[in-house]
Amino acid sequence: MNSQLVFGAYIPLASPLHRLDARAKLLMCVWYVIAVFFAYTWWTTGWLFLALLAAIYLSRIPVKMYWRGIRPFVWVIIITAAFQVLFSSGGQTYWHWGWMSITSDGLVNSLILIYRFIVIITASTVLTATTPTLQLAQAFSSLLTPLKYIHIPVDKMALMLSIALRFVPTIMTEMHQIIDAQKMRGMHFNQGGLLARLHHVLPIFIPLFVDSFQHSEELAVAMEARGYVAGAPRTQFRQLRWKGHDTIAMVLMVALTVGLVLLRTYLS
Amino acid sequence: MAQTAIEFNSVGYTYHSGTSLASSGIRDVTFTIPSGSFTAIIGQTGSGKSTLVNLIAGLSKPTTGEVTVLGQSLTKQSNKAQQAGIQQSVGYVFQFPEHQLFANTVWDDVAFGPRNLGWSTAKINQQVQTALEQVNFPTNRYQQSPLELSGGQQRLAAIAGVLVMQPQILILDEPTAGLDSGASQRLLLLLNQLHQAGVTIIMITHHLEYVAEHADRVMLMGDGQLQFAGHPQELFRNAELMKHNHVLPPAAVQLGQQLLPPGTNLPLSLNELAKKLATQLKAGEQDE
Ligand SMILES: Nc1ncnc2c1ncn2[C@@H]1O[C@H](COP(=O)(O)OP(=O)(O)OP(=O)(O)O)[C@@H](O)[C@H]1O
Ligand SMILES: [Mg+2]
Repeated sequence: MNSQLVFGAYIPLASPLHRLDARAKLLMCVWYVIAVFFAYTWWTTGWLFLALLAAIYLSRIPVKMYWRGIRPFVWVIIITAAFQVLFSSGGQTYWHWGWMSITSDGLVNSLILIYRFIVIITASTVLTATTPTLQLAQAFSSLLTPLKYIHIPVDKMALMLSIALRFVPTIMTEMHQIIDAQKMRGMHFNQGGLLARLHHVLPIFIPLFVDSFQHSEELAVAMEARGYVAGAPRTQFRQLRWKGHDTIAMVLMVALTVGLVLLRTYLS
Repeated sequence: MAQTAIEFNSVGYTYHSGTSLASSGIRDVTFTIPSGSFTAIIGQTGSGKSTLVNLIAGLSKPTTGEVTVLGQSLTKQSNKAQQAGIQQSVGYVFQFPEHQLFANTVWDDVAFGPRNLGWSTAKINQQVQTALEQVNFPTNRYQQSPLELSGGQQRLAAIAGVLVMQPQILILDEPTAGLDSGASQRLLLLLNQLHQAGVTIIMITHHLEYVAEHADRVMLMGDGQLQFAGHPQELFRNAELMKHNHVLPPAAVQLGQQLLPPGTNLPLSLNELAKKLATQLKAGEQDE
């Protein structure tokens, strides 16, 4: 009952991406996401998409898994895109009714929006699927170390992050079991109107909250029992090591960015 | 002749089937469970016990083979309605069922199932009362919040919430985990009563003592496959098989094997062992 396939879960495989330093991957992911916001044209968006495909290929994780990552967001994407189409103006108008209109600019904007959603979600999935959560938190705190000098509690934030990430699969497993138990007591999820469906939320979320509180209490006690002191200087059992291929990966990111800038300037 | 309650025909189940994370739960399992029997399922951690009972409960569909529960069959092609049909006739007490309590009062929580089934208020009230009495739930706490109960009382409330649906088949996954020995004994007594009343009982357990004393059938799972199905006596006599699957026979059986002459029926409880030893010793005294 351990490994639920959920958005963001680590998938243990041996791929070139899995071997990279967590800091390198985190940097690359953030860098990539920022780069995405500078891509509007066919050439630039295509260029970045190509880079993502390469990353997916290098992760050795089947595309199917990435699709599972996006699937829960499909409705959010569609609805946001629909709003974008209907409520933005500019360019040629194809249709309008009251405030709503379909314009060429609206269509383009919503296409870009869909593209960004998909690409960003997938890029973060590449990161989380190839990096164990603890390493990710470690990378996070390591990269943000400079902030400690302006008294931002980086370590505590990293700990919160790693605990939160750590419990996602646990809570998903528990949720599935609670759903199963209530199903066995005659609850049917996909029946009835909106109100009936809302009623189904309580028998699932109340036990889930109670369980989560219990978990957090137990965790707090266990951490104190083992002498955890918030804010005390800590060492790490598993050290992150920056190797040659991490530097190569960063150089590739620079190349990707240079490519992006060139395509933006010369092919628009 | 007893009818068949459950039938498995070369059933296999693979988790995340068709992905790179596919992992085999059970493989090629074939057996039948007669109506009204008390079956214990034993086996090491990860041997596929929960996977097996999830299939019996209709919560998952077999990836290969066919499952038949009370005449309703389930294959890979079956739809949700067919699964729901099986779910309705089976009661399932999950491991740590108290984690599923959610209502404001114990009474309301127990009534959750019947209300889902749309029974009349009069029938619901009557059945809830019966179920709570069945599990010996303290009468003065019916209107209390489940969160204010002790762990043992929560367990009873949760079990009442399953019994209230009057399932013909009752599955329990380690129902005594975390209970003290008194509470465990009372729970087993309740299961015996249900068994007497004709309910088919399937219990996953790690306590071979319970198997010896209460079950009339035992199924041993090992590495996702059914290693043995039959009478507990028969299993306990097969020391090789038990050792291979890392299960130890209960103390009474072990002592009996050492102390009683080979070929005698093995005692299934310490009481039985004491009686057998006593008769043997008395017979010995007379010989002298
Ligand atoms: N959600 C899941 N995802 C992937 N594999 C699973 C999942 N649940 C179980 N398995 C695998 O199926 C096999 C059987 O698991 P199962 O839970 O049925 O064992 P069990 O006999 O109930 O063990 P336990 O005594 O620990 O409850 C195990 O090898 C396990 O790794
Ligand atoms: Mg189990």
